[in-house]
Amino acid sequence: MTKPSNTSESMVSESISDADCVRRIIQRGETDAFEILVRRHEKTIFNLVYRMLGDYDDAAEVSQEVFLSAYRAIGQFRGDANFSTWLYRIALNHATTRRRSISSRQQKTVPIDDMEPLSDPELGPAETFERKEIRERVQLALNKLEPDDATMILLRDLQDISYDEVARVLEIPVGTVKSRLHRARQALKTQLATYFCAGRKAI
Amino acid sequence: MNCEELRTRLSDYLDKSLDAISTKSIEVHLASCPLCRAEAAALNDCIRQVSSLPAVDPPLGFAQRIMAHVDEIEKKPNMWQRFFFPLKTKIPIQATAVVLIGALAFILSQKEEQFRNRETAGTGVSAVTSANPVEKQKEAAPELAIVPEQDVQDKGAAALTAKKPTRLAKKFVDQAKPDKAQAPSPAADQTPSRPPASAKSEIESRAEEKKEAPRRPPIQAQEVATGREVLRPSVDRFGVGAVTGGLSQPSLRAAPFAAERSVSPLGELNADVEFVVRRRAAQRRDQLSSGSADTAAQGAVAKRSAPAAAAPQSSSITEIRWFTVQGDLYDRFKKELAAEASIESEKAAGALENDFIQKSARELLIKVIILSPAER
Repeated sequence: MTKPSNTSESMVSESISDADCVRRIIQRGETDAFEILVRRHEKTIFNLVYRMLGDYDDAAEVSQEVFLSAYRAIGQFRGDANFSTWLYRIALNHATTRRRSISSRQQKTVPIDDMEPLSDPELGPAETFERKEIRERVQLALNKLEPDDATMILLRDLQDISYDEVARVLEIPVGTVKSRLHRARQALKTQLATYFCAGRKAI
Repeated sequence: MNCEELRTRLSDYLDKSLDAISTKSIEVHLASCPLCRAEAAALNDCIRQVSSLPAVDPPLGFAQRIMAHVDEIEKKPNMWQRFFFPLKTKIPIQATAVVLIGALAFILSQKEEQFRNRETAGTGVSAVTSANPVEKQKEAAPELAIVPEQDVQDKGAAALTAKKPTRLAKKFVDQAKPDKAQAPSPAADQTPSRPPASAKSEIESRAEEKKEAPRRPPIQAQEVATGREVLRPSVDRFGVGAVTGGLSQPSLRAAPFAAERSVSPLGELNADVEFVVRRRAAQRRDQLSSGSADTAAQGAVAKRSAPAAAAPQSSSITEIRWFTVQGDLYDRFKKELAAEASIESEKAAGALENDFIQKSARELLIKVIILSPAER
């Protein structure tokens, strides 16, 4: 989406590494450098948060908080990690917190509402509709997972981050990443199985 | 590889993160096990479903909104910065602070002056208030004199404290010299080279010294210095005999201060006995002839002692002197005092009875208020 820009400014900003941007923010207080980072990472972070929360408005709000807390804490960023790793960590912290507050506030009302189209799958024969519905099911399943499980699946399968990187983001050993990921996928499979089985039977 | 084993590694297998051997053995098992194949397919489906979730665009102007907040963070200074950062408020604040500090310093100095006046008025030496050329030293003198009464008996402490003032007194003399032509020469020593003031008193006091020598500096009737006296060009006098000379002609006090002398906790000298004496006319004449420098000094002091003049009596008070006298020499002191001036009143401090005073071996602090002869 941001690719087609041909301006020299974006050319320059693309040539600057994350680490350089951070340095410029810390040492020279250049907010422009932070804007480069925001534009570079906004989509990734927004999607991760959106999939963690399953709500667009919440995602927008939380993502903004993520970037602002990153800006405030930029001095604490150590150059030994990737900026994206650091940013993921902040995003997951915020998203997990929000997710917990949502689930305690809304108490399963959302899942039940979303279940409605499931019980009546014949309503949308069009393929686009079906695809949309599948996505909604997957999102719902993700919402139902434990936050830790959802985190594992989203980092590995949605963001396609390597085991090593996931281990760095979550600050856990790689072996733990593997076992948790396995457990999370099993949990997701269980969640989706009810839908897919029901759907297939209905079809 | 059994099914159980396979399923724990299926996730890794689907991620293609296993080594070649493990991958091969799993493939072999899957080919022969439909249940595990189904399981693998279901899991793979899950992964695919998640990874095929479409990317969502953040709301329009997402980055701009963040940057607007960032600018806000940058603009909004914290409490400290708000006080000191914007130059246009910074300078007035600093200017105000400077003015306030200056005003405070002025007020405090005024207060201190008042306080000092009150303090000296209480001890009766108000006539010798500040604004004197040797003000600094004068201020130092009472400080040095602040030693608790008990310490007077404490030889060690007395010796220690007695030394300092001596040196200080010397300094006074040295400084007084250029001002006063007839400044005394060897003034400051505690074993003074006596002036030929009165041979009689000298002998007497020598005798007294002998008694006292081991205990403390050989001074029995020791005049307590005040700043005013410091200015006086004169010979220094010790012993009871000196008192009278001191009355007729105020002497430069080169001798030690009563550094070890009592001062109440509040810093006020408490006289054991207080005399009010009046100079005789002849002595007054004497004094007048003592030199213009002296008169000038007195005039200067009188001017400065304006606050004290408000007291009803003080107009006739020409001088207040302090002496320390051994208790057993008190009678003689009084006699000699009477010989030199007419004693108008004698007032012993509360607890002291007359005979007690005489018997007591300790030093007495005597305050002599000298009134001018002619007035009234």
